[in-house]
Amino acid sequence: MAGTSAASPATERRVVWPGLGWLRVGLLAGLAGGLGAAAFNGLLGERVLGEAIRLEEAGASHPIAIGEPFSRGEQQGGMIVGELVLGAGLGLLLAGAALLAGTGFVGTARRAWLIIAGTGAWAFLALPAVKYPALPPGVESPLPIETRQLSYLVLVGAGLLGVVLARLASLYLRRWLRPVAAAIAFTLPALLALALLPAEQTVTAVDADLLVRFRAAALGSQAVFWTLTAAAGLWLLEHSLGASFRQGRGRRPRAG
Amino acid sequence: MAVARAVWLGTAVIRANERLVGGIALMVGAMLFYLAMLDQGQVAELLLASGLASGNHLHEFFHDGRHLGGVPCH
Repeated sequence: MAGTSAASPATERRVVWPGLGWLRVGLLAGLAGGLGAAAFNGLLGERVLGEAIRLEEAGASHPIAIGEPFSRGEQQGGMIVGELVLGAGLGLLLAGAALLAGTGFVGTARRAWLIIAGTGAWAFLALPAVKYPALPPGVESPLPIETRQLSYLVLVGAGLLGVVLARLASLYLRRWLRPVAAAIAFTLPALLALALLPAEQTVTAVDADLLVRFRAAALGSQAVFWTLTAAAGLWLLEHSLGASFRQGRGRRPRAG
Repeated sequence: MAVARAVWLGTAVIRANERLVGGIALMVGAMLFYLAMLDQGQVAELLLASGLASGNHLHEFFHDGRHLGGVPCH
């Protein structure tokens, strides 16, 4: 990797496959996304969340006498830590996916990053938002938490599986079969998961308006996360890996 | 010929190395995701034997992030 060249000024700004540099790109990009999401939450999300909690506490049927181990302020600090841990975790997942897939499967560096980050947004954001939209504190689902967590993970898995299968189809099939099979492979696992996983049915909404605002805040937070992660990764691929990773003028891309 | 073979072997080793590191990155990433977004006190139970923690503290600490992250919380 390091022996690529003492690069001439990289006018083309082509980025070669970063190899183990993916770890740094993924980790830093994920942390950037987490920081952005935490800022968004601090500005908007926490306000709606606080409203929901006050409403929950006002509904006396559910006394909060369980002894909360953390104050609200501590939980808000926990949100920031949580977004950073989440960012590091998802960033490492993206980096690991890039390393495992390799350039033969996902293409050149920047394209690979966009495909992988897009897949993450599809599997972790879009699909769960359709089937299990975010619930504020105080609004209980009729499903037990174990079922919802498992269903959430199956949904994420179905999203990832669809992308992998579609990529395999587009790599190994030819002519008209290629787009058809890729489209089916991409949508089928997601559609099956959406249809077969238990529905959340009627959630007893305390305040319909609050529910809508909370879901908008949660979607916004996740959209900020994935957009910033993708953008930061692209920037890092171009700027953080040192001159040896940049393709000099007139060189052929190293990897096909 | 020998050079080509050495280069081929070298790239093969680098690729195997990348896959291995990639697999480890996936595992560490999944663990961090679990801690921040999914744990419901299981980690505390594991630590309970060693007397380091008790209860569902991880869940409560990351409570806000889970709700706003659209992950099932409770």
